[in-house]
Amino acid sequence: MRRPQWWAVVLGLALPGAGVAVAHPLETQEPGAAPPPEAEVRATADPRAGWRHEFSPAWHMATFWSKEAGSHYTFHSLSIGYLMSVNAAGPFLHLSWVIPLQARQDGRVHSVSSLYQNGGGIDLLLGWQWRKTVTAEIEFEGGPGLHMNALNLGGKPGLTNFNALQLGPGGMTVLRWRPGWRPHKVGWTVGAVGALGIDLLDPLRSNDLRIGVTLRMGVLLGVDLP
Amino acid sequence: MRRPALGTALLLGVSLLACLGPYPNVGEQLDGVDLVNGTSYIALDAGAARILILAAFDGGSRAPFTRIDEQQPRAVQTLQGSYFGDATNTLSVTFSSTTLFSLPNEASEPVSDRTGAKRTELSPPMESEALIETRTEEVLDLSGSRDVAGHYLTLLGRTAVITGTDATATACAFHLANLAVESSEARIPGFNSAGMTQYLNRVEFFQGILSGTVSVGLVGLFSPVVTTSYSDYADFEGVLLDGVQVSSTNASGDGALSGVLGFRIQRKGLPDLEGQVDYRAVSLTGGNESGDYLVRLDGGTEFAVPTGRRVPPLEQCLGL
Repeated sequence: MRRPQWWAVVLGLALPGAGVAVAHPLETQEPGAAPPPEAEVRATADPRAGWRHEFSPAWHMATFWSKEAGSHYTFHSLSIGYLMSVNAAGPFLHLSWVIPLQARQDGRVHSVSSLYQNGGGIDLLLGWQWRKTVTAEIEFEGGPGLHMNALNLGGKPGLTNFNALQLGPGGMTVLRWRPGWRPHKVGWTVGAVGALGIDLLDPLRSNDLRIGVTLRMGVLLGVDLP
Repeated sequence: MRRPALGTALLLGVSLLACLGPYPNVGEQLDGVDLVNGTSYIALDAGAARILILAAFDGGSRAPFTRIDEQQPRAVQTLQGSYFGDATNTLSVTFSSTTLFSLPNEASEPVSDRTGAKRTELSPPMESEALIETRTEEVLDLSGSRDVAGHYLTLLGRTAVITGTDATATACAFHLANLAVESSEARIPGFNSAGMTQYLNRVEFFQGILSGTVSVGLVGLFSPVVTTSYSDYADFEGVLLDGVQVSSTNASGDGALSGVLGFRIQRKGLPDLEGQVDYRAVSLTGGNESGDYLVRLDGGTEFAVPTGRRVPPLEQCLGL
């Protein structure tokens, strides 16, 4: 949500009977209305406050090494994600649906669609973030979290399935532009996201995972509904 | 989009219950057996059976072989590769194994912790040196490497020892047929483990080492029904399988077997011995069998052959 709305909400709560003002920006109020207490306005006017809900298409790469065979696997995928975070310091969630496109093992390159059917995965990053404002309209967000990368590729007839469930620490950064332009009272944000996971466990695969690195880089598009 | 979503949900569900063993190769074939058409020999050691199939050289200096070890309770190791002689010593033979199929004995493990059957490519190949001590039409004595050594007799010659349709002959015929069943199970990746989930809603076919196919399919994740169908299946000379075995269990492997599997025992100089095993009296607890196999030879009556150790032992059945 954009700043004028927050002011309106605070005013609405602070001034009983002024509920009408809730849905309107400050500048539309009557000239005679009492100004809000200065300290309170300052406290709630933090542009970093509030929820961010964003849609994010991204490139997703998972590369990992196995213990038993010593193989090196890399999967390049398209991911479609939902990003959420709260306030200047608060929790965040990045949940992505992953569509694998290319699989590599020890230098051999395969098109996923030539070997597998019904393939897909989920990338989840859950953690704590902090926001900083770079300028009035540009915001930076980053923080650590716990990462999960689940992949399930159903083999075509005669071929084995390939699946993995990799867990480990991770982190993310978001650079967000929040212009003041609000067509039809809908604010919007655009930006870029980068996330990294260092995966150390795979309970599905008897911990055959030596180490894995998951990288996700993409754009984001969010809306602030009035 | 629905099926990938279901697949991923399945993956997450399975991950809570089980592990599937090490990562497979990308695009790995489920069936990786080499067909070996040759003479089959059997050696026995305290109830454990070792079957050796040697293809003829056919003018060359190298030919394929298969060695199947079956321990009791069920544990199978099958080696495949090629063997070749030493030009300076015609009695010296090297077996070069390139593939290992294994089905470990995991009876004491919960199904969710089992690795089950798997195939391993041996690179570099595992070399086993052996010396031919005796070789006649019926006998092959190999000394040297423990991987292949043994006092072997031709299988077709030994199956001829099984005659009649009484309880002993019926049990013996079943034990031989069951060698082929257990051998086939080692060839199905994930068999006897949570790895069977990869056959969910699909049917996959595996070649017999000698002939025919076995197919496997699974329906239902939390109450899995696994159907294993044999069609003229033979891993070695002397035993052909044709029929169906069905296991219906819960996710812990508790349930029962059903289905009827026909078998044909080929005997040198005698007509084939045909029969069938009905699995309806076999229970499964944690994936382990108990109860009786109901076995009948053509022209005979049905006998209950208990699960577990072979009674009578194979040594007695084959007159060794």
